[in-house]
Parts: sequence; structure tokens; C-alpha cells
Amino acid sequence: MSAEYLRGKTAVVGVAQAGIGHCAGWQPLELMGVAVQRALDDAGIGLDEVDGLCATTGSHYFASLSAAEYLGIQPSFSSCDMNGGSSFMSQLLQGVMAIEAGLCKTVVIAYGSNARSNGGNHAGLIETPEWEQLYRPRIPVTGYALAAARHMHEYGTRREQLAEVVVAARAWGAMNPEAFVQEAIDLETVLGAKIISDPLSVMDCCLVTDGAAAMVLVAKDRAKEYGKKAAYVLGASSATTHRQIDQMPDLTTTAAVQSGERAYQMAGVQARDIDVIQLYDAFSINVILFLEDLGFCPKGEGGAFVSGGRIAPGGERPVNTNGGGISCVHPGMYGLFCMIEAIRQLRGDCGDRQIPSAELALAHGNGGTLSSQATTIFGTEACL
Amino acid sequence: MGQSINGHGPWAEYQQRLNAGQFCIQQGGNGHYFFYPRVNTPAIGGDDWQWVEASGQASIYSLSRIPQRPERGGDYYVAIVQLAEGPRLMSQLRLSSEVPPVIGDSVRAHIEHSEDADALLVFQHGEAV
Repeated sequence: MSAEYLRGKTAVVGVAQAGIGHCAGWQPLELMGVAVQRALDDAGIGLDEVDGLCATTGSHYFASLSAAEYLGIQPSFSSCDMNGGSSFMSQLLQGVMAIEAGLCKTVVIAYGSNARSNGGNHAGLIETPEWEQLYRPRIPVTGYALAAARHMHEYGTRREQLAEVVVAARAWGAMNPEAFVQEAIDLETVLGAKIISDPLSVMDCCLVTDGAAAMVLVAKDRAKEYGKKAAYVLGASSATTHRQIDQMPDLTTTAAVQSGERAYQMAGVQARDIDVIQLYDAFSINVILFLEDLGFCPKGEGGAFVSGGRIAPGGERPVNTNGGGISCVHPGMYGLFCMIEAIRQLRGDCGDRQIPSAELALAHGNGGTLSSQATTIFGTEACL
Repeated sequence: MGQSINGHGPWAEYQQRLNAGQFCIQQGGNGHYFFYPRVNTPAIGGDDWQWVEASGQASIYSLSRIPQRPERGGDYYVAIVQLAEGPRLMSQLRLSSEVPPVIGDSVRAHIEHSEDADALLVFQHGEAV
């Protein structure tokens, strides 16, 4: 049996976000609880039907236990697989497998964080590897700065091109009523921002917000029972290359090459077929790396690819239509929000920022310091 | 060298050698060098590695200048250096001149000793290399 067997076997039938921004007085599990209820309502499924739970926060070591207790459920399948911001993509694949294996019928994937109102306290996420901490890198920015510097050295990528990613994200954010930052910005302002770890400035970095998200996954044959248009899981794969940045085999090529290739193979599609591209933009360089590694442009040409507004509203290749981690939401881990925007595009729920006739969407997650890469591909019923 | 739970692990051994003024890395049974210190030879497994003194020769693989106020010591450079033997590691650069370091420059290992802490491996850039 090959992994392609899982293509289209399950579908996401409910999605929700909650508390994006600043929610002083709210705990991570409370925000998560709001998102879970909204996602279940979106699907039209009762909490009592949930028998699979994947849960993540920035502050619970036993997140699946804490979340199950909080919700008052006793799932027959649970996971708090942790590989950073891409965890949710990994959990999606685990949920697909659990449903297909008959371990459970209804999986909720949930996340909640008060990273912003709690004073940026998401200590578990910024655990510094033992060797690197001796040298005082600004974690996690310096790791990405080192990747950006090497990409600039090898391929001539320029700071202006990194800034194009930020300008595009902010323009998308301005079109998203849920985005924390809804203010477009120009290239000069981005280029004038304060350097945190050269070549990355404060504006190359994602936001630190509060926020929660949840999605509901069921088997394909149940998808039509529910009111909303289902987004079928066509492909998913994850890959890892390292934990600390100095152990990354090649600073300009991420494991997205492997995760992407396997996800495309499972889905039976190629990069050129994808209508909706959502990439985990913890930092501006991520978008350039992932566009290359996922086959949207050749290696080294990501900087040129993002230039001239190509990935911005009105551009020929829209990327991160919600504003991404840079302009919409990043409560420590962004992966679930990334998948939800992909699914909303397939459902046609995106208002002014809707991509016309979106049938096939890719949501790519990143975890650690370019360490974990996980690619998911969703499609409408027409793609089955 | 067999794995033994007696004594101490490879990390402590590395640090002891560094404190004594020797920068050592491990060489696996396949001849390849690796760093940071580990029990297992990465990727191929096995514990038939040995400690060898590194040449200290290296080059800058990537580099980030981190701004810091002068009263706190001023800007500093965090780099990933590639040892002549192959492994890469994060470190800080020490500058011998006003010439800013760039990727590809040669650097040399330097051990900084202190009274109250373990020795620290850094890399010297500039005239002294």
C-alpha cells in the first residue's frame, strides 16, 4: 500500500478562528474552547461526536490531556505531536490516518495561545538548543537571518525582495477583516525598519498575537452530511532536517522539497495546478525559500518571483491571502491558521480577497528554525 | 571507543578538553568528522568514533550582525562556520580589524578561557588568521 491510498479519504467540514489580536484576560484553553465550539457549529457537529483530538498550545506540555479535560471529552485517538508551527499539518495527516484506520470518526485539531497578552511568554517555543545559546543569537530571528544571508550570498537575493514579501502580506492583511494589522505599507518603510539580526529587520518578522483556531475532520463518506462545502485532504507529508540551524544540511534548501514532493505525489498534482498558496511566513525569507522548494519557481529565483507585486493582491500568483503571520496572526504557531485560509478559499468564504474559481489549495507549515516542513494539499469535490 | 555509562558523556568530554586548551571533534568509523559531540555517529550509527584535535581552520558559511548598544558591548557577529574538516557549527566572531567579515572569509578557532565558567570556542577573523 502506498501513501496515495489516503488521497481524498477525509475532508475538513468545519473551521474557525477566535481571539486574533490581543485578548487580555483570556487563557489559552479558553481561546481554544471558543474556536472549537465555532468550528463544530460551522460543521454542524456536536461536541459529543468528537472522538479524536489533536491539541496544541504554547504553554501546556500535555496539551491533548489538558484540552480533552477542558472540553470534557475522552477521545479514542489523540495527539499533541510537537514540531513547532508545522505541528498542525503533521496532526492533520495523523488524523487522516486515524480515521482511515477506524480509530475514530471525528477529529478536532485545535490550538490556543495568549502569547501577546501574556507578554510574549511562549517559552516552550523558543527553547534554545544547548550549543547555540552560548553565542547569543536572537532566537528565533537569527536562525532565519543566517538562512537569508546565505541565500543572498548564493543567489544575489536582495533586501528589497525580502521587503516585497512584507509589502504583499500587509496589502493582503488590509483586505482581511480578521487580520491583526490591517494597514498596507510601502517598500521604503519596510527597508527603513530597525535591524534585529542582519539582514532581517523587525518588519521581516511575523507578529506576536493571541489567537486560537480549530478544524473538524471526518471521513469522505460523511462529508456531505454537513452543511458547509467540504475541503478534501488530497495530500500531506512532513519532513525534518535538523533542530538547530547550524545543523541544517543546506541553509538555502529546506525539507519542503521532500514534504512537497511527497504531498504532490499523494495528491496527484503539481505546483502549476495549485490555485491557492498559503506558506508559513514566520519571516520574509520563508516565503522565498518555500516558493522555490515547493516548485513554484526554480531555486534561487524566489526573490525575483516575489517582486513587482506578483504575490500581492492583483498579482498573478496570490500568496498568503489572509495576510499571513506577518500581517494577520501569529500566536507562536501559525500552521492551523495557514490551513484554514486555504480551506476558506476553497469554500469561497474570503470576500474581497477571494481567489476566483479556487479548486486546489496548498498550505505549507514550518517549524523550529526551518527544521520541520509539512505540506498539505486540499481540494474541492471537483478534485476527487 | 565503546559506549560506556561510566565517567561522563561526550559533551562533558568535549568541554573538559576545551577547558584544557584543546578543540576536539569526533571522527566516525567511516572517516567523516562530526560536531557537536554525540554518542552515536550521525546518520550511520555505531560508536567506533574517536576524538581528534581539530585543525582550527574554518570559513564563514553564514553570518548575522546583531545590533547592540555600545554600553552593552556593541554589535556582535553570530556566524555559522564551516570547519576545514567539514562540520558546521554556530559561533561568535572576534574581529582583529575594522574590516567587516563576509561570508567565505577564513577564520580560525580560538578558545576563550575564564575564571568562573567553562572555556568558550569562538572564531577569530582578520589579521590574526
